[in-house]
Amino acid sequence: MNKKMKIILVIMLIYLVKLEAFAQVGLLIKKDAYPKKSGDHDFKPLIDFQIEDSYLYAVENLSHKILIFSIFNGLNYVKFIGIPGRGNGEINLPTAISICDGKIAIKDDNAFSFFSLEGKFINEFKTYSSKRQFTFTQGKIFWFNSNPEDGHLIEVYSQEGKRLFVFGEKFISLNFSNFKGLGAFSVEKFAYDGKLLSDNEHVYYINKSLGNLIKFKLDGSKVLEANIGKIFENLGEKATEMNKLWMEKGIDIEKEKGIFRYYPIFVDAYLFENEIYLADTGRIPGETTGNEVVNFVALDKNTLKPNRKYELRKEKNDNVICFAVAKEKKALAFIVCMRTDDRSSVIEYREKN
Amino acid sequence: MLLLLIGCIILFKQYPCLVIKISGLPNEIENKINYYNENILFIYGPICAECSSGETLYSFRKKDNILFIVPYSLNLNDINNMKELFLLKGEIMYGDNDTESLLKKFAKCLRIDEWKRNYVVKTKRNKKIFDVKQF
Repeated sequence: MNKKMKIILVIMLIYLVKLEAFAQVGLLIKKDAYPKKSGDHDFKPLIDFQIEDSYLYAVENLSHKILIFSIFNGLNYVKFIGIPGRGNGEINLPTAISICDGKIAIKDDNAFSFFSLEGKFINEFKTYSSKRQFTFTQGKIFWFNSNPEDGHLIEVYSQEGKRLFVFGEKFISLNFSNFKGLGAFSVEKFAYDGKLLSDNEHVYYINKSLGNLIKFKLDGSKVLEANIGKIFENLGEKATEMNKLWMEKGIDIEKEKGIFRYYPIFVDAYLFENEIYLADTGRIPGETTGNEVVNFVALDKNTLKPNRKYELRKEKNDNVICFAVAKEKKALAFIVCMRTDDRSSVIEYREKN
Repeated sequence: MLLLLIGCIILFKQYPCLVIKISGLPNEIENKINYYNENILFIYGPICAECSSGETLYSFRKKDNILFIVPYSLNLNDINNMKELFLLKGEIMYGDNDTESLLKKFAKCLRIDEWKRNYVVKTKRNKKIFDVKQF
């Protein structure tokens, strides 16, 4: 076999391995969208989605509301939950939502608030960090540990706000003195930005800047660990590389004209049935224009390995902000918040058969 | 005449702050502080760890000569979680109606519309107020 043939064989082998990684690549096709017509609810930015039964709960940050849509038989706006404010039962700049056993937990800028699915206020407790990654499961809040001097990754609170226990280990080495004009809390907020998901038996922490995915039991014992940095190929690898750089060297925020350049590997993640779905940013880190494709990857929640990939074709200026996954008549539905410039819309995509 | 006019304007503008410095702290707070309690922190506004309010609070971590005063709306869990996050060592007490009146005076002195904010107060050895800042 001559040298040229060997090279061709190696290239073919690499190509086959790549194909094997995503044996199935599905295409997502737009099925419905909201707003449908002028006069429909005009969104302030939507930033987090959660589906319960046949309803989508969408966090509308600047209006201090949780919007509820019915999602099957078309997307239809039903009502909203939330009175703006910082008092009991009021919501101020909500950032994340999680639903468990008929209760909605909402993280806003200074509290966790709990509501019934119908929107009746139950109780709240104060928090002092704007970190949004949390999951509500078995009546407990699992939240990223905000204290920079505490090396534990996750802290657990009762619904009444009692801090119960901490677990996991923070895994990024950060020298806070290298960051000028940025406090330790803020540096950690960027470094450990990510998503916390739960299936009532396990908690999954997925880091957006380096791609660490860690699966824990609810008592805090670690089950499995993986890295999702490479599932989005060069986009994920480049983001990881650029994030490592600022973590090692630090940043002078004044020299950067007040802008912290941080490059998330994925925009959002959602746990549905036996899979964790992740959506990439659709944007090469450091470049201003986006790609025409956003990739959604489904990971097996038991092995943390990729099962399938979906491609969503979009306009270059469209950005996926968040999403949720549901199933209707055995067909997967991706409900996606898409933002174009200042306008947000909720779009339902289905897998093309 | 002009000097008198300027003096009156200054006095008028400084009056709310002078009232604070002369009248001092409510008895309940005054009884709590010792001469070495240089700072009293009134935490009545939002605190966000990633914002300047949180950074200011964090700068007082592990110091035990600070008195923290919080509103009744914070329950014990809220207070403990705040102590845990910002590593606060000083004593924490609930404010009352007199405290709220004092904060309204602070807001007037600092020309803030909303009195429910966070303030750091420096006291003198005689327990009188030396300086008030909002954070």
